[in-house]
Amino acid sequence: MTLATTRTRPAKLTIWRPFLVLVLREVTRLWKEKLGFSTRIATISLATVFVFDFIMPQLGNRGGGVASGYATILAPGLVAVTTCNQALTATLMSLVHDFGPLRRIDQTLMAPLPIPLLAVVRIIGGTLHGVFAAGIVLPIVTFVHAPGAPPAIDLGRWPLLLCTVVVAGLLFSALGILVGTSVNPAKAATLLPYGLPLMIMLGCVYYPWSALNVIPWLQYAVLVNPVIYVTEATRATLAPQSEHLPELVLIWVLGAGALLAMALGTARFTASTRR
Amino acid sequence: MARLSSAAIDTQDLTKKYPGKKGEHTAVDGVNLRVEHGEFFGLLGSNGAGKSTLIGMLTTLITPTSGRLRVGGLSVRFSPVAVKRIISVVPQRNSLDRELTLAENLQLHGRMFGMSVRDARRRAAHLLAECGIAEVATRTVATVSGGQGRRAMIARALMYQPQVLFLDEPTAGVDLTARQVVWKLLRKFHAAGTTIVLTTHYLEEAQTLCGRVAVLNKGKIKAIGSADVLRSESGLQTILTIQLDGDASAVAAAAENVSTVTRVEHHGDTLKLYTTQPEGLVSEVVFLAESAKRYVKNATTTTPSLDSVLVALTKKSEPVKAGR
Repeated sequence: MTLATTRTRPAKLTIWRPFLVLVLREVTRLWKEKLGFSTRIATISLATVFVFDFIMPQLGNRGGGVASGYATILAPGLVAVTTCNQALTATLMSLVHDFGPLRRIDQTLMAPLPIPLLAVVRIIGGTLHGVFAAGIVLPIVTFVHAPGAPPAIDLGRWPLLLCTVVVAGLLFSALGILVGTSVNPAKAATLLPYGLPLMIMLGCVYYPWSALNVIPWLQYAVLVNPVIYVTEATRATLAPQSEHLPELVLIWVLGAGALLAMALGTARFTASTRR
Repeated sequence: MARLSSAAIDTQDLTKKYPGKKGEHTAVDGVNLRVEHGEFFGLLGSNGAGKSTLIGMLTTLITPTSGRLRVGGLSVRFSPVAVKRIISVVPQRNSLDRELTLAENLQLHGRMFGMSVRDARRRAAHLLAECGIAEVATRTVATVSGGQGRRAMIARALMYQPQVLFLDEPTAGVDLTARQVVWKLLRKFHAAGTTIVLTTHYLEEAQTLCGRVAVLNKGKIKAIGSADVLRSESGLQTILTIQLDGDASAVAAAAENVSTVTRVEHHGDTLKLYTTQPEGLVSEVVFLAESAKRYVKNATTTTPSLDSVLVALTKKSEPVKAGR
């Protein structure tokens, strides 16, 4: 075969072909790092459930202990916050590389598809990370607990849980794009260690939102934190009997929030590639 | 004058301005450029001349401030996706996917442009072999040398034969051996029918590879044409030194009347002719010598160095008009 026999590009190439290839690339990206990724998540969640679900219930009423049944509160919280965290970090870090000194984005931009779809690819990639992370945390929070005090969670509603996790992934990966394109990406990476813990600590991960009624001003102030809707929605699906925000509110806020974040994220991404 | 848009590249008054602290900075200033299909075209200029901005606009990455721009007859502004389907770009910086091997990089690109997994694998292997980097095909980008990475980027750009291949300084930071390999590759792909547009600040590279060259300075095209045309446009003189078998004064007198010769010097049997158009001058002198019953023993041409040509051209305040 000589070079002269090279085929020319097909004239009718749909935009879906490159789109699917790039989505598949996101899947393989996750697959290639599956071991390190899952080890990292498993370690953090194991440590958390070990302290909160194993050590602290046994401390009982001695200083620092938590009531038994705390596992039921923590389990959905951890699943939710890990999803949010991983989805956001995945897109944010990919933007750090994209707009870094090598401007990897320029090559991505040469893909024969409209630029907004490239943002969609990133959002899908982030969501995949979030869902994968949730899949690792869920068995850990289900099976690691103090003797005789398993969390009262119901896995029977798993399709609903999957929906919640996917929507949370979409919302937070889109937020990752919004953050990554609104500030200097390198700066965004250094901001992560400040922003994320704040969102987690005030994200109703370790306590249900209803319990905040002892501090009314805080109970309403934290409503700006999107993590809350994900933790409460996960609580509503995994432990429906526990107290949580009204389901209708959760569906609306998460649904509309994800759509809005995706629209804004896609628009911001497109605008920031323009030179 | 109506212009056909079937050219590989066609720009009209293409301008790019960037806002800056001290007012606007014009990176590309009213460029009119037409490159035909099958050309090997060079954009020459020093750092900051506007080469990369121009390439950026031609490849859809940079939005022009004003002017018109068509690639392969397609409007870059209105159908950027269609343009991206017919072009390939080798950027200055290594843009390979760092998590993938070289072969995987090529395959991904091929599949994105509609190749089957099998075809992409076969073509990638073939191109990596053509580029002489088959032995590192399964290594990741981080573990190969700069020259190998550069060749892999060229191979990737050719997974599907594009109508126009753009290369931004393809041999910058590459050692001499690797440069020769890259040149050989580009010639081969050009011979196979690909239109190639490259930017460079190596004059040697432009002269060796390109049929036509445009010299950019401060965002404007200062001159355009073959390297020889540029040489004559620079106004720098080529010196033709002729050694005759006897006194040169008769031939010198005759040479004064040759229209392309700007100056004549002679000393003994040696004759020096200054010209900006050296083509065909030697045979003319041989003819003149024969008429004067003299015999040309030796003739040497001293052409101005390309560096001095570029300096002379970029110093010119007004753009030079020239045909092909």
